[in-house]
Amino acid sequence: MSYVFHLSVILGIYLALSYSLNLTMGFGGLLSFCHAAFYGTGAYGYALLLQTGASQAGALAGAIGITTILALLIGVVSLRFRGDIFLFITLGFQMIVSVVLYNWVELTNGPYGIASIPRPELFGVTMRTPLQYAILTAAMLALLLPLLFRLYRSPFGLLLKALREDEVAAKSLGINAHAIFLQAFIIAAAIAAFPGALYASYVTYIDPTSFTLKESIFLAAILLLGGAGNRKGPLVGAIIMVLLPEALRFLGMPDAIAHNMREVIYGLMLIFLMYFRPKGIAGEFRMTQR
Amino acid sequence: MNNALLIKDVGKRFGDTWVLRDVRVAVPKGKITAFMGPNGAGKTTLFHVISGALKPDIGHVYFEGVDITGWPSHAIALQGIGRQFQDVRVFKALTVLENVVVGLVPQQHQKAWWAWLQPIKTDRSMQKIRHEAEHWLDYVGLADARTQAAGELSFGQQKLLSLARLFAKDFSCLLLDEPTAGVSPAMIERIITLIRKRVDEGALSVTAFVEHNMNAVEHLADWIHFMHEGRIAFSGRSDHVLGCEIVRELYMGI
Repeated sequence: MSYVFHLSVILGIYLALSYSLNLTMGFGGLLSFCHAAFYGTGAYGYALLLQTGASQAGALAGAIGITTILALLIGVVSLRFRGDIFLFITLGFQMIVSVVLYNWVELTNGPYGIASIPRPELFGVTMRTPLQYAILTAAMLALLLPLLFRLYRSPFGLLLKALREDEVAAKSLGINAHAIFLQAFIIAAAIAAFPGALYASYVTYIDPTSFTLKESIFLAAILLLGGAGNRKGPLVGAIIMVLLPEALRFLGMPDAIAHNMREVIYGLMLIFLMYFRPKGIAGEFRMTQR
Repeated sequence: MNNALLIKDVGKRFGDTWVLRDVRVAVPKGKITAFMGPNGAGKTTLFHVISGALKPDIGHVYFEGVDITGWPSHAIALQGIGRQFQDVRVFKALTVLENVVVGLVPQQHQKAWWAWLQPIKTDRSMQKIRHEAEHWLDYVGLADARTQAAGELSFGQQKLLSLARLFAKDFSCLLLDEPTAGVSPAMIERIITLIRKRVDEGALSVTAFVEHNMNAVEHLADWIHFMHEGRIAFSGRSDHVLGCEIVRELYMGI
């Protein structure tokens, strides 16, 4: 049973990440490859602040604050551009963050990572079991998803969609594209810090390999596969991308090839989907160019 | 002065080619002004410069006495200048109603936290905005299509929708780039009637349009600026310009 709870924690983390990315990528139409950098900043910020003696709440708030500042800096630079150039700039920032996590050994302990991250304590109970973490993950989603869903259906969400559809036309109606995109980018990043902190406390050990470009591409793939710009897409995408490899475990594939086969299946799924259903399984608009 | 829009010695070049040269135009209030000329004369570029899509290399643009040269296009829109595009540019995946609502969203709703901190006020104000948007869809005759995706409309209906968006926003100045191009004769008539009606209602202080359709120019324009090779070749009352031999030669090849 604890395996199921473990899966629900991992799924919950990816739901928070993909729903936050959905704000910029799905609603704003900005294909970004640095969401894992914000996820990682949340995780590292939380773990490092706890090491300095900060309280759990203080460490979480600090991690969100650091991620917000990072997103502001990246957003101000990258949002001057759109399309492919924006994508490559975010990709560049993702790589910079990865390089910093690997090489700033004095701060991050480099490739050795940070171990023994304390478990959180809530109402006098220390969270240890997968069940307790599953409840904590559900509580995180219960806090974050209503905030995001409120934005999705708010005038702000509508303006983001209008900018995605035609930025020139939206600007000609008095909409400040830069300000709106920047807010969405920062909010998405700040929200990604939450699952980062949760992940750090859950696995109690983090290293840079969890927050690489590959992870950012994985998050973008969730939205490409499930569909973006609505509430269904990230759910469908996250369930398939996170749970499919687990389902494949039961096929009895030899361990030596199981990992590679999973990658092949992911790749094939994306190719077939882009070919036959470019909006994603439950998406409302087509993100990829013809 | 009775001129709301003043274009003073504006020049714009792409590489070594000047597409606008010393353009000096005063667009009067309460009249409909047409910009005519052959393809490549610089009409659309002039609209780009006025609406902030392009920055002029030299010269200034004044609106209601304010120098708006080089302002970003959203700031120019907030100053009261609305723009209709040649290729319409509706938000295709949004519904027809949402297309109009987008323009009506008040400034404070452009801040994300407003939706979190003032949810009830936001919902109320959006309800009001939706009613207003419905009124403008009714005004242009698209009320029945309000729940349809804008991309599903015919090109002519998309033109009507873009007009509804502009009328709803209550711009005092409209720049219409070929408002009747590519639509049926019946739709041309409908569009002309709507623009004329809005001007006669006194809602628009400045209306300028680029047009190739002579019928539309004859029915709408009070004043015509004829452009040729990036310059204003000459200007005059519409009956004078349309009857002018050089215009017929340059433009219609007669």
